[in-house]
Amino acid sequence: MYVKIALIMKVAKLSHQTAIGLVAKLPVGKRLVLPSAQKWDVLIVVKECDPLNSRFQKSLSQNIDDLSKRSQIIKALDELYSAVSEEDYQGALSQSGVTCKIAHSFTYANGSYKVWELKPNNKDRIYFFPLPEKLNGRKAIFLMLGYHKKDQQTPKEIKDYCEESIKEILQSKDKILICKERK
Amino acid sequence: MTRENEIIAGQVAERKALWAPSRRAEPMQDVRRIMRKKEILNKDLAIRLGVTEAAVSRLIKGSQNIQIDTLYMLADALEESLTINIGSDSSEYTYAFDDADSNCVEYDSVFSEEESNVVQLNCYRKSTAPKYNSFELECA
Repeated sequence: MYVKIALIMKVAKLSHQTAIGLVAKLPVGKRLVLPSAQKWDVLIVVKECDPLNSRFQKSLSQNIDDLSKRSQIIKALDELYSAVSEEDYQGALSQSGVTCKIAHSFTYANGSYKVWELKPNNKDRIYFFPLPEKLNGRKAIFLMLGYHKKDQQTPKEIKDYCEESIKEILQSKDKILICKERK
Repeated sequence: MTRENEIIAGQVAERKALWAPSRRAEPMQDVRRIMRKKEILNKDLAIRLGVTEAAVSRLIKGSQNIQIDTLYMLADALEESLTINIGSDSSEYTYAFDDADSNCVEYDSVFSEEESNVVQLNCYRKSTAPKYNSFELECA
């Protein structure tokens, strides 16, 4: 498979508030996790440090197009942000009301990598990738896509997109610029 | 006033549809965190509440619309305080949970122009919330 060689990759740290804002389109109506409480950073790949100009946001706009889907994606994001305030975020997720499982795995450059999915219900998904090594001294999770499944299996285009994106992240790991939310 | 009530009724319904699943999960996230911290198992909580372990498992998943009585029983079973706070004067709070080093896991709630509607199982303190959607670049 053809893989682009990224020279510099820009990523944005997504606070809980910003992540919810990408989905909700309404004022936040619940408690939020502060970035300072997060043991893991939640990141998305962006252009020009704008979270609205990202593949993740575009996937939300395209696939999460009604109130019911948005409410489920918000629930998944809430459980994720609650979980990443602990070192063992997978342990925290395993007790939550959201299922977390491997959606796709692949080998690349002598390493084995996994795309994970958060399942708030049978249809809606958030695909993510926990970076195996720390980024800027912090553990990091990349949000890849939001999706509303129509089939039982994870679609090939989702697997391919996530795999290609993860390869780009791994290739760019020494050349990643982090857009940080101003305080 | 009638017109205003109708508008607000629409907003209430829309906000319920959007936020209900995550609002239901919110107090159960606290419950699960406290259980892990205090090493309380589902079967312990079941005995303390006088219900089955399966009922506890369903309860703490956070999908149910639980009663206020049940919420207080959960707090009592965990030997924690519970505060239900509607219409606070302050627009911004940070919620904090004591861990082993008394460093709190912080939570922030921004209800600017909205009434606060908060259930918590532990302490809180004021903080400044980050501004929305404002980014700067830092090098990795």
